[in-house]
Amino acid sequence: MSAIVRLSLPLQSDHPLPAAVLKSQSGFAGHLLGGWSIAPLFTAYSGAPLRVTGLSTCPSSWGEISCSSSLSAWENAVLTSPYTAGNSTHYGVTASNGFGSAGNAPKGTGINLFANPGAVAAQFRPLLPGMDINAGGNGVLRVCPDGTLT
Amino acid sequence: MTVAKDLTFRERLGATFMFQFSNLPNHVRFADPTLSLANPSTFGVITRSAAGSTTIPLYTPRQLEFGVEIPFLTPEDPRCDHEMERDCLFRAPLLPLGFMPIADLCCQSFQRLEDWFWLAHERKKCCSGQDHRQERRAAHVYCLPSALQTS
Repeated sequence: MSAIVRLSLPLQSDHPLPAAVLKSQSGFAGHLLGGWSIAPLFTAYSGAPLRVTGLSTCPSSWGEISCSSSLSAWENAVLTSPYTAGNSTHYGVTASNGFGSAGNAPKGTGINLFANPGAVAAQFRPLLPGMDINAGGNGVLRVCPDGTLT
Repeated sequence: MTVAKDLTFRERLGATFMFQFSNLPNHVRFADPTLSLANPSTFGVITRSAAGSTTIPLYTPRQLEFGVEIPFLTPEDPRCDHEMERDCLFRAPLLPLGFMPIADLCCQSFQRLEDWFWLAHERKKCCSGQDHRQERRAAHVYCLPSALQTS
């Protein structure tokens, strides 16, 4: 789940400077420049945790889950080295080692979570029963944080 | 973000123009990509904007709304007291002379000395019901020249 932070900074110009001229909204300048208020609201998203799934719907372990087509039933892939690819959106990305080819021009969007999808995919491998104690849990990656002025 | 402009046409007739923006920079939020080693072609590929769910807030493009509020403040309208009290609370600590903000408010916001006595003397609700006899005297002295000019 992505955490959302909203920052509100109301600014009021009920008493703008120079106060002697504008605070009463007298005169043309007072009516034009006085009485304004602005209330910006910035919403920031921390980014949701993401999971990398393995090669098959069928588990590599012994019967914990079924071969369901539901993505939630897929087992997680194991991260084999420290993740350093960041979590920002990249544009104009082309496939590397076949990973991310659906985004290739001219039919794809060219937008990818990774600058080099193949290199990131190479950091993961399927879960190996008997070798891995666990796959590191759900959400070893995190979607890029975001924010906008709302 | 909301931008508002207050306008005063008469003593108790004004208008507030409001401009409300959402997603002002028109910043797009993308939906999460799928990261499956079984489907290399879609690995990390972002194909759509966030559609809204229990975990992903709905992405909406820039929206602008305009509105206007025209309040008609009658003598019984509680907003008269509210405005008076707000100005007392916010402005009194800012000036060295405690009575000046109220006297200043009466002359500049309500224009007429009679309004000052109507609000602060007869209704006795200004500044949380505190005793403002000193301020009333100051207001009389302070507002009298402008009141004579406008009458």
